[in-house]
Formats: sequence, C-alpha cells, structure tokens
Amino acid sequence: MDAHIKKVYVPMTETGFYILLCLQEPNHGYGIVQKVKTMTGGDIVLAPGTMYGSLSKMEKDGLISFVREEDKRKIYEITALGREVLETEKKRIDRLYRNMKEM
Amino acid sequence: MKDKKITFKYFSIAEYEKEEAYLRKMHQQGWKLVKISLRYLYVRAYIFEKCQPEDVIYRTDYDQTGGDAYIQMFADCGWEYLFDFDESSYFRKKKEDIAEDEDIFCDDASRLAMVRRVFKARYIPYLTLCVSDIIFWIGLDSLIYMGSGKSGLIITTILWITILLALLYLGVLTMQFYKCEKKLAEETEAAEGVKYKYIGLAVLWVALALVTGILILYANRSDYSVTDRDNGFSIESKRMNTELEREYEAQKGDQIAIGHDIDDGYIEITIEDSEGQVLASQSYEDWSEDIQTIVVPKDGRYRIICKGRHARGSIQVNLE
Repeated sequence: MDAHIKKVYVPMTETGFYILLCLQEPNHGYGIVQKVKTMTGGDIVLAPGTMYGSLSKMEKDGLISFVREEDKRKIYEITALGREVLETEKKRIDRLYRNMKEM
Repeated sequence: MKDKKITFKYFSIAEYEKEEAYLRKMHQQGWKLVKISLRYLYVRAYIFEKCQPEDVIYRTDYDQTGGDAYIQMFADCGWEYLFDFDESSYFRKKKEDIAEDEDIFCDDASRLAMVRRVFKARYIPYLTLCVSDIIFWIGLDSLIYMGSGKSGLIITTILWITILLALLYLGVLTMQFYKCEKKLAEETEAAEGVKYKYIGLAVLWVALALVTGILILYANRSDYSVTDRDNGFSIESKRMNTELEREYEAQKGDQIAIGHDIDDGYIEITIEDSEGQVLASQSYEDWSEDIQTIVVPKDGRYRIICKGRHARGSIQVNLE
C-alpha cells in the first residue's frame, strides 16, 4: 500500500468501508445501497451522488475494478489492493471494539 | 402558451442551494422545471410547464456526469433525471418519497467534494481573469495611455469601472464559497484547511484591491512642464491630469493664438473674462486644427484655464 492510498483510505469513511465490504462480491451501485440498508436495518442509506463519486474514486485508485455493464448498471468488484485496505480497516475497527469492551 | 412560463433568475455559482429551493417553490405552485437557457452572464431563463402542485425536491450535482450508469444509479434511488445544464445535472424526487436525512449525498465529505469541483471549475478561472485583467488593462493604461481624446477617456473609464465591479463580485463570490465550505467542513479534519485557504484568498483579494487602487492613482498622475513668457505660456507634457490657470491683460483686437500637438488624451482650454463669462472653450485632441485664434472683444483681464486629461504632447498659448 503506497503512501497516497494510506493517506486517503486509512482510516476510511463509513461509506467507503461499506462499499468495499459489499464489493467482496461483484455488485453495482444500487445493489450496494440495498445491501447496506438491509445490513444496517435501515440505519444507513447510501446516496447516489456519494456512491457514484466514491466508486469512481476507488476505481481510479485501484481498490475496485470494473467487471461488466448490465442494464445500464456498472458492476464492480474488489481488487487485491482493495482487500489489503479493507483488512487494515477491519483490524483497526477490531482494535477499537476490543478496547471499547475493556474500558 | 399559458401552460408554459419563463422566469429570469440570477444565482451565483455558489448558490446552488438557493436555486434548488427556488425550483421546489415553483413546483409547489404548480410549475415543474422543463428546461434552462443561458441568458446574459449569470442570469438564466428557467422554463416551466404547468403541473399538479406538489412538494418536489430538486437537487443538482456538479460535473459528475457519467452517462447512462450515472443516471441509472440515481433512478434506482428514486431520483428523476431532468437534464444537464452548464455542467450541472438536475434531479428531482417527491418529498413524500424521501426518507428523513435522504439526499443525493449521504455525507458532508462528498458534498464538500462537489462544492470544490465547482470552485475549481468556476472560481479559479474567474480569479485568474480578474488578476490578468487588472494587470493587463489597468497596468497598461497607467503606463501608456493610448486613448484618443474624450471618447478614449470614456472607454478607459468604463473599463476601470467594469474591472472594479468584477473585483467586487470576486469578493462576494469568495465569501459565498467560504460559507459553503466552512459549513460542510465543520468539525472535520478539513476545517483547518478551509480556514487557511480562505485567509489566503482574502489576503489575495486585498492585495488585488490595493494594486488596482495604486495603478489607477498612477494612471492619473501628471508629468509635465510649463514655460511662462511675457505674453503667453507653453506646456510640454508626458502625461497631464491637472488644471492650471494664467491671467493676462489684453486689449480689444488682440489675438489669442493656441497651437497644439497632442498625441494622446486631450487638453481643454477655456478663456474667461474678468466677470467669469466664458469667451471660448475648446478641447484639443490628436486630430483637430493646428492653430486656433480667438479675437479679444474688449479690453480687460482675461483668464486662461488649461485642463488636461491623460494629455501627452505640447500646447502653446500666445497673446498677440
């Protein structure tokens, strides 16, 4: 992971985290919105302007890659770099959680 | 035709929220947005069509258009795509279909990113234009005035006023962007950066205002010399922006001869008698008569007032 990626994605925004989490399987923007909505019990509803900007940025930075287009929807999937960034974030959240439980 | 309505509205590039609120209000009154036309400068023509009054929220996104997939993503989330205008994409959705906190952006970071896209694409070029206009036009005018006579002066004055207004607008625009960015970056790590950015811009604006003021003052300087003789005077000037007076005793039948060779600007000569009555008044530019003669109607003291505006050249006044 180079310095630029680290600076931008560590730590990650909640939106970014959920996008990477969902893209461990191929999906498109709205699919991610629906999945996150279900996952969080309706608490987090991602918005299209944010989603589109995040997906474009992550694709440019190499965290996700374009798979194919289906019915005018672009389908993405996480890359190896994306998995690395996600792992780092997972560890960070884990550590936060463990320390939180202890105090 | 009663089903269509056109309004002319002005919104600065930073006032997207105001525009969104306006479109919502119009829809609540039974007018839905159909099209926007560019009019003059930042005033736009909004074209509406009669519809059922409804509470509909309008939103704009700047410069993110990614074709079909972009529009589809918004459609999937319930936002109807209208059109693109001036690099902004217009969307709308019924208020009743919008959940609390729902918007086209779900975090301030992406909202701020949008404002910054507008800033980069619109503010920066405008700032550059102001700076280069000031340096080029006013700088040039202060060094080499190239206006011909009175009409040249009107043109340069209009130019200065235009540039001053543009500078004022730049200040207003900077304030608007500051308010936007400050609100969106509040309590995030971007807040410090925003503060410094706008302090920098404020300093730059003040510097521009000062430079403009100094250049205008410099453009209005005077650099000339007067040679007085018993029966007249001559002026040699590189740039004359002032007024001078001379008084002479004259007799009926005497002639006041005015010779001139003016290259830029103009010199206005007014001859008054002892009661303040104007005998003659003429301005000398770069293509009028070479020598003019005025005959003195009666004995007395006469005052010759010589007023220059950006005048470069020479003028001689002789009593004969």
